[in-house]
Amino acid sequence: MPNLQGVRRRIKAVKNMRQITKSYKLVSASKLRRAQERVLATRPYAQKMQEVLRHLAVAVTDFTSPLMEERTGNRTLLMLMTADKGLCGAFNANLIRAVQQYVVEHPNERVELVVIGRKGRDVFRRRNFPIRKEYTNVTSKTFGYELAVEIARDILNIYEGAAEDEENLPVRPDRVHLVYAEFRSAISQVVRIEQLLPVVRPALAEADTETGPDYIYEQPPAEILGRLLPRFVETRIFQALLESVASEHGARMAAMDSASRNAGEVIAHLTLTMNRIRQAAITNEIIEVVSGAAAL
Amino acid sequence: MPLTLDIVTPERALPSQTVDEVVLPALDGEIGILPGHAALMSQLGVAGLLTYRQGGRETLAFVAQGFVEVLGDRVTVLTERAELAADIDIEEARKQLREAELALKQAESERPDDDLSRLRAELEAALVRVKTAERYQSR
Repeated sequence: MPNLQGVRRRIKAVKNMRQITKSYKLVSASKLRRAQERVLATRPYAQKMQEVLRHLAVAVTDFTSPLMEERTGNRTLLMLMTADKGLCGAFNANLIRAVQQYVVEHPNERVELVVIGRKGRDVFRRRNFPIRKEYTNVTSKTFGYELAVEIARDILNIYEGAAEDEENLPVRPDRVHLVYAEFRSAISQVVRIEQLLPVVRPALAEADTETGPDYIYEQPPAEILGRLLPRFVETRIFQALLESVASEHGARMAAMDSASRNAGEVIAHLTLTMNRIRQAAITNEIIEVVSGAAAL
Repeated sequence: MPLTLDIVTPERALPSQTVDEVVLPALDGEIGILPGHAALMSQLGVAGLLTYRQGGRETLAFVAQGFVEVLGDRVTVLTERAELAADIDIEEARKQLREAELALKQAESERPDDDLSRLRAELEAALVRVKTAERYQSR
């Protein structure tokens, strides 16, 4: 039978832990609220961007940008967005698993990575997976649009890179996919793999006429489209970053909530054990006293 | 029928405004938009001053890079940065201008072969931002 003092000490320890998980949950909840607002604030821009791109793509059929051209090679670059910190349930593990699954399902592709977030970086570096570029501790503090601009610039440099391998084949990737956690709600995050490059030519919405609006173009449409595409890539990255941060806080909040609840259960169980031990000790003493008196 | 003006940036959308006239800093010069304008698409300049009129009241705003679309009675400005002149802190804007000047000068002397167009664009944006704030104050 465990001794009384040991059980008391354990109860105290678990209570301390619950205190921590509870406050971490509250911190995550407030960070989540802010992240959620930012995700919503960026949607009008992203939507409008998509719309303008669609209109332009309809108007400019003869123009192809290198950013829209399909390539036939087998090199794939995955842009993985994980968290810098753990303690958020299966959040990071799910994202990492999605990358591994992609590799297994596409045995003909040579997959390389660009990782954002320490957790993903650590895992893939340990496995000697080829990492073209890494960004750590960039999403754990508040970041602005400039971060997406910077990352987009690096990605486009890699995508259009002129370097060649030993067989004189280009080492630039033929396609780039985003791997990130889409924010559905505070308790639901969905891992998404979406093509970033080449930019998919947007399909016509039913509402559009076959030609789209009849714009007066101040600059040649091809030029506008050429300028718009990199901005579009930036926007996609920015949105994915914000979604992933919101998802991270949501996942952490849920994880800390269940940890706090679990701590409560452990405390209840330990308290019961403690009371049993104490009662057993009291009963023992009474028996001793009574049998002592009877012996007199 | 008045125009509806939406200014959206990646980080936020400014409140939608009903306006009688907009003057935009397009890439090839300023464009004035009045109600009933034909559908139009243009790039914006590196940085510029956007003004819109509501009745007799004029509002100034700073915008940098982006695109404008006029469709029906809606004017949509997609820009990387947008700030109402009234919201610009002039001291802070001047400080940024000095920093941008310094950064460019330093880069020009240390690595003149690099592409400095980004720093130049930043300097221009900082300059326009200060001018916007000054024009607002002088009213």
